[in-house]
Amino acid sequence: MSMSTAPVAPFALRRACVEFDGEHVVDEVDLTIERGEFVAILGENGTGKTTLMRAMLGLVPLAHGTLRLFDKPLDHFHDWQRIAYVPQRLLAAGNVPVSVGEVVRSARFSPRSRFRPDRDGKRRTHEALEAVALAGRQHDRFDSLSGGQQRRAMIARALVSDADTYVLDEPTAGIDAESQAQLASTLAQLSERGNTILLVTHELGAVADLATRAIVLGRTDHGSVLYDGPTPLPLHLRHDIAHHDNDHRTGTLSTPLLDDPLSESP
Amino acid sequence: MSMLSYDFMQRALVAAVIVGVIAPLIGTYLVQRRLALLGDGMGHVALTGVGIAFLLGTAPVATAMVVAAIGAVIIEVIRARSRTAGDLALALIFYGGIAGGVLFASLAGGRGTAALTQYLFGSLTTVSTSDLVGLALLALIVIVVLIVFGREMFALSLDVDTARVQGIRTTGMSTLLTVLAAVAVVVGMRTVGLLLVSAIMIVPVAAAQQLTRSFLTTMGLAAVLGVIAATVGLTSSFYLAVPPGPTIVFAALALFPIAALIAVPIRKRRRLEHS
Repeated sequence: MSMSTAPVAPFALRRACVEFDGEHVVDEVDLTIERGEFVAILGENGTGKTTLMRAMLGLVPLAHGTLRLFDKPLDHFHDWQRIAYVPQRLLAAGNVPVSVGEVVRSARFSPRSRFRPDRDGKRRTHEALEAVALAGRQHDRFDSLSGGQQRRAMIARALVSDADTYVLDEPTAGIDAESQAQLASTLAQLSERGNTILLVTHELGAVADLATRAIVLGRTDHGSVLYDGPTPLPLHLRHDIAHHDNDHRTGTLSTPLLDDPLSESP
Repeated sequence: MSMLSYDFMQRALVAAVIVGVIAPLIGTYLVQRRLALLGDGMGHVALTGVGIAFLLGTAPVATAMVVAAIGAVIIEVIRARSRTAGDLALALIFYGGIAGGVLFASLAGGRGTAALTQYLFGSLTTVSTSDLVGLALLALIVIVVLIVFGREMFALSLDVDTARVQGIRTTGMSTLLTVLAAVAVVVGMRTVGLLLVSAIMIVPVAAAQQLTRSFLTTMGLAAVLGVIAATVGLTSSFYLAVPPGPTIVFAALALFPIAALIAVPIRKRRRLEHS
């Protein structure tokens, strides 16, 4: 349905600032994410990556500047089914058992589908769980899954929606190498089909390597964006990220995003 | 002499079965959102409604419904608009609710204070035919609202942020859930009583969740257990000649260890399936 419309930018921020208690967490950010782009927001912890992403989804109010979603201001944007969001923290576990299938399928519920029976829901849930190698687990309790499996179920949750724009916050945090590789292939497929993908990560790895554009956040005199451009990253940022990455002992540094081996950087 | 040979017992039983179904359905959402005590508070607020009804001579069920619904909206407004923490907002409303109930009932004179006990702990004899029609109507409204909005309320109970990105109006849905809790309280106030009505929302859910793996089955089983507790409790109340509120709650509480015992072999089998 959305294919026939003229491509409009899913996200556009102009001079956006986010403040918490008077402090600028995100400062003077100008960026447009075009349709079909695969963008990684990078930066060390505390540079406002997650805040920027939440601001782009309208979850955090802007202190200054403007946000447009698919060329509409937040208050006038209603096409939420186009956006699938996978948050950093896992879904709030309440005191009632919730099955894996219910978590995944809940992404299909929206004000627009309120009076419509969800005919494809069952099949789509099944397919999405298959895509993340969790087939057959849909009747299990969500909290009986391991951390990595819960992450995969959350990805499946994004897959059942009819979205064309996927927003993922630290999708690789705390999941094993095998799951990361699997997630990378899922995202690569989504990207090949023309979907927009925006992810936040502090670690360079199989998933971040897929990005064709990188936005590096940090603190400068002229705002939060240190770099916004194609991958691989320029030399001085490679050093920066590599340095910070070592600081955080993530140790999963891989080379493609950095263009050449780390040992050769100055 | 069967208890069903009395008209008032037939009406009380129908009223108890209605609350036995409705209260746990709402309770499942409350427990999932960690708002198990919200029903208690709504009961206190409804008490002010009953007090006002005594004072003005209006119908207690209708008046309690209006006051409880207003209380529900005020709670959500305080939660959304001010920096007051959710539990603190609830506490403020609750104290006001119970104080208002006793105050207005006392102002209404001796008749008021005596009748107040019936609303606090339930009564077998007070359910009139017109009450029954009102309860059935409220129950129908709850079920229709759950069919239309239940899926969105479920998505909200999983994660507020993802719900917002789905386009769900989170404040609206929260308010709706609180208002539904108010409706469940009013539906239960005749039989279970306002002080204990929250138990019939929460205890069947607590019992059911030991046996289930999904939200929907928990909801369904909780409603079945709610009906069992209401029926057993009401029958005991008749033969023991005590108010039905305490016996219904004890019947519900008794289901909890029973469910725990049944859960042991079920969990063992599920573990074997996975290994």
